[in-house]
Amino acid sequence: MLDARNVLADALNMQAEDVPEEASMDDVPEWDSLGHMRVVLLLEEIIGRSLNTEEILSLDSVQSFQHILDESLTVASQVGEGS
Amino acid sequence: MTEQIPTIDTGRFVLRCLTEDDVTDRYISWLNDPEVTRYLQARNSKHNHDSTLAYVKNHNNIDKFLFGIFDKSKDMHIGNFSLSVSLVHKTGIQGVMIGDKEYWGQGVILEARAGLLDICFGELGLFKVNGLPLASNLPAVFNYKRQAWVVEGIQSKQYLCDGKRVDGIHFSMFRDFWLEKKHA
Repeated sequence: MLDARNVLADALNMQAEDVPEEASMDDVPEWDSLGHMRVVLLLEEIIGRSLNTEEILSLDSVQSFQHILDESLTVASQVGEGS
Repeated sequence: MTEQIPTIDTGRFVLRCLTEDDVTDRYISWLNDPEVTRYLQARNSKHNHDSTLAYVKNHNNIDKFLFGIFDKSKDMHIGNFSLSVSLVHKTGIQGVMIGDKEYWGQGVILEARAGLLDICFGELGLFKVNGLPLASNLPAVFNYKRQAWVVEGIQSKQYLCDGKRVDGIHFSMFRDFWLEKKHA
C-alpha cells in the first residue's frame, strides 16, 4: 500500500521521515499553498483520476491523503481483478 | 470616505485603499496576465489604463472597497483585495489577486487577509465575510482551509474555466469565530 507520507514528501521536497504520521497542513511549514497544489496534482496522477470537490475539501492531513489513496487504489485493484 | 478606512500594517505588508495614482503599467500588466487571472473574472476582458482607472474609481469606499497589498519593505504594490459589502446585512464578499508572481507561495494571502478581516470585523462592523473560489483553484482552497474558514456549500459547475465547468466553493468567516481565534 502506498504511504501518503511519501506522496507528500515527494511533492514538498522533503524526506518522508520528516512528515509526521499525524501531521496536518498546519504542522508542516513546507506545506504551503503552492505545495498543496503540487501534492493534490501528484495524488491525482497516482490514482489516475481527478478529485471531486468534496475530496479536495477533505485534504488537510496525512491521514486524509492516505484515505483517498487507499480507497482509490483498492477500487482500482478490484476493477483489475474483475476484468 | 477613504480617510475613514485606516491603513493596516500586517507585519510584512500594508493594506490601504487604492487611488487613481496606483493605476500603473505594473498593475495593468497583472490584469492581462492569463496566469495571474486564471481563476478571476478579470481574465474575461482586456485591460488598459482607462478601464483599470474606471475599475478603481468604481470603488466608493462605502460598500465597495479595493485594498492594495503593499510590500512594506519596498513600498511596492503586489496585489489587491476587493470587498463588496451589504450595509443592510453587515456581510461582505472578498476576493484576492496577488499580481506579482514573485510573492506566490510566500504566505502573503494568509497574512494580508488576516488584516483585511480585522478591517471587516472592526472598522466596517461586519458580521460575516464570504469567499467564493473555484474548486480548481487549489492554492486558494488551501488558504481558506488553513485560515479555518467554514465551508457553507458547493456551487455545482458554477464556473467555466479552461473550457471545463468547475464547482465553486462558498467559504465563510464569522466575526465571533475570528475574534475568538485571534485572541486564543
